[in-house]
Amino acid sequence: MPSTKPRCLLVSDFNLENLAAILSNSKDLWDDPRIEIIPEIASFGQVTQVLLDESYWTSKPEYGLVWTRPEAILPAYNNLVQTGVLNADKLFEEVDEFCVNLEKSAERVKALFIPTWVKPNYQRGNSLREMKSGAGVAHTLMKINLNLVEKLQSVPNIFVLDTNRWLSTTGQRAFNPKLWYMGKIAFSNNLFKEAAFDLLSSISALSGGSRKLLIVDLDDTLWGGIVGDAGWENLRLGGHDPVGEAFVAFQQELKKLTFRGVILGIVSKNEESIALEAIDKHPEMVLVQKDFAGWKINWEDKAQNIIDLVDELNLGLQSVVFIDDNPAERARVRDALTEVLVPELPKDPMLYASILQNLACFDSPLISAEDEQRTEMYKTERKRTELKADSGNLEEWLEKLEIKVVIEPLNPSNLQRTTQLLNKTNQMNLSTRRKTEEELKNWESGEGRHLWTFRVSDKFGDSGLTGIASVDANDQNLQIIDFILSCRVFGRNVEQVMLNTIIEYARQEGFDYVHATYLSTPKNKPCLRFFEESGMEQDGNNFKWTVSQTFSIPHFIEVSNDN
Amino acid sequence: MPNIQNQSSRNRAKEVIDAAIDEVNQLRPVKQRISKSPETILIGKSGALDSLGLINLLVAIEEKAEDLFDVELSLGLEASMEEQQSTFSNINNLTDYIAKVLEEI
Repeated sequence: MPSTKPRCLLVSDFNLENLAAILSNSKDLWDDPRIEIIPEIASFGQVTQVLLDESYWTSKPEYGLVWTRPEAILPAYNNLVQTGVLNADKLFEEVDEFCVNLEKSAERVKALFIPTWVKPNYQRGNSLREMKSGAGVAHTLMKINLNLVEKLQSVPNIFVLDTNRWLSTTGQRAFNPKLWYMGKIAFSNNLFKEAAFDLLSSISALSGGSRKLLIVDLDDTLWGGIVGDAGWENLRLGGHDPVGEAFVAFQQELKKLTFRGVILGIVSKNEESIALEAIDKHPEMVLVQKDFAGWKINWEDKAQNIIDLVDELNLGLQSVVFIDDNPAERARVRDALTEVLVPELPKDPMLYASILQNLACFDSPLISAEDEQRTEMYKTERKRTELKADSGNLEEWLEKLEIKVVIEPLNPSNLQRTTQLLNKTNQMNLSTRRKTEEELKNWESGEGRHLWTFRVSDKFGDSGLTGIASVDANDQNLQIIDFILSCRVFGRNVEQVMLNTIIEYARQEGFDYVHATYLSTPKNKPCLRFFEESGMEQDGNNFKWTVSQTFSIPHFIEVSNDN
Repeated sequence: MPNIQNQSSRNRAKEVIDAAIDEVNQLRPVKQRISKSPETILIGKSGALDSLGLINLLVAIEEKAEDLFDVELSLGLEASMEEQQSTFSNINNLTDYIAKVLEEI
């Protein structure tokens, strides 16, 4: 059976075999079940040829990494290092030319990664001149890196990676001249491990593998002390106390994550009223109740509480990170819920914030308006659930929601969010195909193709752009290619609106049938269930609707079509 | 005749080599991991290491010697293949060599 792991072509002017070996062994090196890739090495030392010559890319790798040393790819930089003489015009021309070549290569892959240029840390230079404009090597290095980043800014599928972070993490052992002289290996394996980790995290994020929900414990995790014993007035939080300050810093880091679209939840063994009182009343709490999309504060098993909370928020366990100071609770959750990421937490709370800052599992290529408001959206979801509990039956509840759906074509203003949704959605996703902005735009402009986006709101709030449907014409038939709905709006009959939109389009355009083919993944069973219950004719994983039949939508949904 | 060496030097050499092998094995598929047994052949036709593997092992040994015993080793300076062959042919020879160097420091 062919491997489904994506391939990544490694292009470099130095030996990257050790990096490839680390990437191949990633499962053994890291606990977090991040993506696995197949690294392929392009013959080293021929960067420009590889970038320009299509034949090096015939294996159709999904990703590329182009890692160069400035002294090898930029002759004017090498001249500066060797002679101390800088020809700035020539140097920036060389940077421009390199960027043009990268741009061409980016057309062949989903994403191209470019580590920034660095110089070995044993090349101290002349400290009085290093930052001088003109002759300073360090100054020039900063300028060419900035130039590289700015030139590549407009290419959406090129991502510049920060080599300096890998250097600072690895320290003195980032470089080893012996590796260079004996094997033309520019960096140590410790640095390659940092690079591999970031590369895999980036590919995982681009493939929809980012985690979305961070669940925290309370006592000795969010604050110091046991609130049930000490009372909220005596918790260690803030004040002129290094430990109290560290808990405040930890909360600040959690708050920062919410601005990146991560939602927060609480699972804690406590009396709910006492815990919530502490959150509400402690004057140094950074996080307030509205920062949490949900909580399970009781004396039940934490693994079960996580399952219940995740279910309430309509997410999957693979989206979850759980943070708890208690090693026994961490072990219990790790053991019971293998999909949940449970980072080790040091005993010293002064190190907690740095653990959060170092997590790569929330990486995301884009931060959309929807991301920034995600916690708010989940809070309104809680209100909806409460209303559901008060309503006699499902239809009554849906009617009370006053759902509105706005249908729009793909356009420059929604392209970013549409691509993000396409790449992140796993459950209600017919074909689970992943595309970059450029690829999606190009696909949609093809003959016979059409793509709709769906914005959903109700009386509690705006869920934003949460649905995508796309079709491709095939003689008298219309084939559904994408049928995607965010789990935030599952089960509110928006699915029916999407199918109705497709069928009505088919009718207007004179097609006889609408077809859909379900492509199974470990996560998209909800999509199969919807199609099975939709009334379409089923033959295995293939579904068919005769366009002469009307496909109705519930009367309580207000639809506005801007197509 | 077995080498007569200071046992503590040999133990230290083994500790350094074992830690270096752990490091190098992180770069190798499970089935190709290097065994720490003294008989393991390292280089040559039936050796576990290719030239890149040998470079990685030498650098890892130098780093581990510094980390564990604050000792600076310089490996891989042998001018001839014969010299290299006798030093790195198997783990037993390598342990003898590192132990000897550790004793001399």
